[in-house]
Amino acid sequence: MVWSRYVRKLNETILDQEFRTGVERAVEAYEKGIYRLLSEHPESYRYAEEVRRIKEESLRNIDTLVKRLEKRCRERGINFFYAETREAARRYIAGVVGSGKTIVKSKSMVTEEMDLRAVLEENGNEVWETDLGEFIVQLAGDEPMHIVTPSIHYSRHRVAKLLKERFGVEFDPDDVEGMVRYATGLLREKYFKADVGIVGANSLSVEEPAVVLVHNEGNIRMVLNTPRTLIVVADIAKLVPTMEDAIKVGLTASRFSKYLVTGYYDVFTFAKSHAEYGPREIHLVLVDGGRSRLIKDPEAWEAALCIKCGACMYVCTSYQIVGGRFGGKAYPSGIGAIVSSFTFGLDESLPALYTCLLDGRCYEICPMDIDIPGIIRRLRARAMGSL
Amino acid sequence: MEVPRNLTLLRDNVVETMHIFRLPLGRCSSWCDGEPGDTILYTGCLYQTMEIVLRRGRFLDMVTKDPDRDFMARLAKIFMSLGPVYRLFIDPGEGRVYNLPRKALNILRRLGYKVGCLREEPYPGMLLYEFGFDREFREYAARVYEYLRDRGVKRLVTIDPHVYELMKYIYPEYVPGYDLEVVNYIDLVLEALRDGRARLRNPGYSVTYHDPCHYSKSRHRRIIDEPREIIKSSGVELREPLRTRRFSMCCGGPIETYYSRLSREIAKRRLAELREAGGDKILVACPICLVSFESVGGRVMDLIEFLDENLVVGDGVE
Ligand code: SF4
Repeated sequence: MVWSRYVRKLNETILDQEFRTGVERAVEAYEKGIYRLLSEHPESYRYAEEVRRIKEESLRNIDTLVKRLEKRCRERGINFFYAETREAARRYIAGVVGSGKTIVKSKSMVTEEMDLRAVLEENGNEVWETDLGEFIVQLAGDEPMHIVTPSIHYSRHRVAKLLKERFGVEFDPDDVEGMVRYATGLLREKYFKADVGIVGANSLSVEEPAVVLVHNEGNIRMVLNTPRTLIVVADIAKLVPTMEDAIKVGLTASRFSKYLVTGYYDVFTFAKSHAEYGPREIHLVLVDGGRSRLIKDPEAWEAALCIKCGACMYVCTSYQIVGGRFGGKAYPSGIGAIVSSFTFGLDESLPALYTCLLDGRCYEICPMDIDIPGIIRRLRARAMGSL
Repeated sequence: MEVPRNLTLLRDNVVETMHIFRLPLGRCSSWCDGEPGDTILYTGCLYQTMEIVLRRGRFLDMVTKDPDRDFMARLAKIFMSLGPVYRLFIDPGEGRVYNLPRKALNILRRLGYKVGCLREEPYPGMLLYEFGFDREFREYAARVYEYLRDRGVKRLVTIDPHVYELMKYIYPEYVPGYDLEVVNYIDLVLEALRDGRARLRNPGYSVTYHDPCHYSKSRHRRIIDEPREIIKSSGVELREPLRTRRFSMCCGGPIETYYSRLSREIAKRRLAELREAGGDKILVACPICLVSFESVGGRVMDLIEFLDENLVVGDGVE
């Protein structure tokens, strides 16, 4: 069953020319950009090495860091919730939000992983994805195809069609600027109407509790600042000791996403002084959902070093054909297949683990030097060993 | 745990017969003249197996097109147990790909290397390793090692990236006391070219070289510049495809067994990219790449063929 469903999707995707063109265009742009960026800015590798050390150390001390963060949050009047499971996180967030609310969201994989949007909508709330790519995916009722650029599989024609279907507005598909203006205009209204903002995290610092968010569109700033309630949702592997560390993680991730600089590097500290303009109520939801098992797994722990730059996805041989249809939920390609073996289970992830060609392009580019093919092979062995 | 039957089918074939398609081991090495020696050319039956994949593609496709074709895999299992009838059907004889080891052996001997071979060559179990049948692989590798040692083998010369990596770097991790020396023929050829024992004549065409993954992205040893040095020494113009060297693109072969559609799509895309580079010939250095591209309509040349065609030993008079 798991396999049939999966392979059917793969095979459909292979035949979807529009999808393929979108992915093709994105991966080509990425590959052209990244090799140039890295050769012109070799210091990026130095950042990466340092971040690998920071993350390694953080994973080794994860239990202490979580406890420490909880303490620091409580000292600052931040509501801290450790969710052992996705279900627990969902329940907590649904409780905070209630019903009849308007919610603006930044793009966040962990909320995607727990189907948060659907849950909140079911409870009678209005949820708006504010990242334009994610917004398109939301309108289409589809799933994101990349962690940095979720809607690469949507052509401007498809987007124009979506806007017509959903809002009854007509756009010339070549008028990309017009469509962007329309969407941002629509979202601008929502920011000021919103009761709750939900953001993810590139990294979280513990000593001075703060979330680092790197983005290009400026939307996250609005989500952080306008609604009166802010919920930060992050998986536990995002924790690093200091603010300096957290900033380095964000900077490195954006480098390997092929941005020399991005539009915004936001550091949002959980300080009381936000109350004037920013949120009055802040919740931090730390999600485990199988990650502590990953972090402590002697064969696969390296996968938790991932800083979600998305490089390995763009360069992956299989991904370049079928995009995020290969991988785990919300977390494409090989690294996604690994992590989802822990967050969703080995059984469920097996077809994805076997989509990997073990060719190692991902390993060549990964700033954290994660031996993705090696871990995939070992997880296959684990599954086969249990036969 | 739900596991596609075509994976376990191949596992059982290997474990039971030491051949992926249950052929007698002699069918791996009719190119071998039986010359004994502690140094042998060890092909792991890879080129020979890929001849089957190339020529019996239609049949294999029925079994392997999708991982959920359990029924076909079951039928195939019954068919494969028919012994002689099945063997007559599956054995494609000794075509071009099958015979590349013969050419390789000949090249090595012309260069003055004393290389023997085995009349019955076992498959090294790469599939078990890559598919994650670790327990089986551990036992199997020990068997292969013993098999080779019993025949006095001390040194293997390999002619493809997969067998090379497996025998040189993976076997030692799995087989206690493993002490076979593993050499790549590319190094031997390069050595001979460098010290002037031989040279390559310029065939007058240009070539685009496709790096096989397990030479170019190996965690163990990268063989990226060596084949280029060999090719360039002939004076031909060497073209690089868009994705090359460390970032060369896989041919799609490794998932052919269960996601054959995706595998083919990958092959087609890479083939188009290689063609775009504009060389008169596309050069590969791995039987899996060779067959992946040829299965989707490509016409490519193996490095062995390039050498066979253009190698001049000594002053050209042998
Ligand atoms: S595995 Fe490596 S390359 Fe892939 S997203 Fe994570 S850090 Fe980036």
